[in-house]
Amino acid sequence: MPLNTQVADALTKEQEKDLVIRCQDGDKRAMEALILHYQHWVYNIAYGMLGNREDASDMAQEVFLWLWENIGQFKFRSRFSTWLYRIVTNRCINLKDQKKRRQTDPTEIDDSQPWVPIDTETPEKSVLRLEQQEILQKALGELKDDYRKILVLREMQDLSYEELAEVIGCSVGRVKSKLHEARKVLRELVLQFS
Amino acid sequence: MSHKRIQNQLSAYLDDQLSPENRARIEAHLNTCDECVEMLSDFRRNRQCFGALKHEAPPIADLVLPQLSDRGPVRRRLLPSAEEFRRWFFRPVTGGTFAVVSACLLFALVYLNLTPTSDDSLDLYLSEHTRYSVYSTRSEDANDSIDLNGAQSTTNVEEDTDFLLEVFLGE
Repeated sequence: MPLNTQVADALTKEQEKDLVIRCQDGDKRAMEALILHYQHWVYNIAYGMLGNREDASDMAQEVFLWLWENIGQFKFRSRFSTWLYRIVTNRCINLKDQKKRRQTDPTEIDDSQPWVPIDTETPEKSVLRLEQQEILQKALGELKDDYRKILVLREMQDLSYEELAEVIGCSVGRVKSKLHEARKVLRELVLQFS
Repeated sequence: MSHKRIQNQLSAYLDDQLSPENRARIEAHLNTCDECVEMLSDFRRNRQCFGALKHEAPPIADLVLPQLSDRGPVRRRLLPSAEEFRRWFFRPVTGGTFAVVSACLLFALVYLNLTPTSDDSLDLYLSEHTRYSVYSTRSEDANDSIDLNGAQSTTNVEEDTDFLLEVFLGE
């Protein structure tokens, strides 16, 4: 199990709250613990949203630097993780909009580095998986931001429907229907690119 | 349950968000509908692909920590910023409430006639003026035979006005 996941698992809700309060008081060590706790999640959400490792890494750094300056704005009305997910997804959408305005290709696929699959598999399976992932990335690039956001948070981060409702700011019923719409559109796109 | 409705619930079925009854209904339908089976299988495959997208993050902490400013975070504010207020005000709930309350007030003003009319104001003015004049008259002439208490309790606005006119004309 990766180190950052171990740290993430070890942090309870109370500890998280304590860390946030300490961060708000300017404690860098608390900030370090928060970064270790969330870096994996933040990076992977950014990666799912942006489809590019370099952009995802830059985004994760930017988010944590922003967090350090602005954590005082967090008022404990929701879970810290919900607030953070909202910040990451919104900033990713903003970045994509900026890129679109600059006429660059927001759906660019990063193939400069090989994938590091979590479980070990045969080379044939690995190639097939890579192909499927490429198709998925292409399809994701064509998805509406709203759909991409809900899919990344559900499929990659495994957020519950209630958490999704909080992050997205809608009812659980709406999450259910939106998720279904998103999966249907993604399925059509994947079939189209296959 | 129709095929279309079943299909709309496949996503919730995949996420195990259905009641046991609905789940059983969908499973029964899946035994007879290839289209739904295929859709569910595609949903599952896409989910697996998503899962495989997850990978180790680069050492973000090592990159970020040296860049943290010594100034530290902005202290917690007691009052919301202008941006926070704007966002709060334009939320559907706040904006909607404001619109409904405004509409009710407008309705009350226009249709329920809650504002005092000019006639009401004139009546009020005349009655108050009359009372004032009666008291003035009493203080000027202590022997005046007018029963003020009686006048206050029994006379109406019209009588007061007549009296005021009489006093004014010196009759």
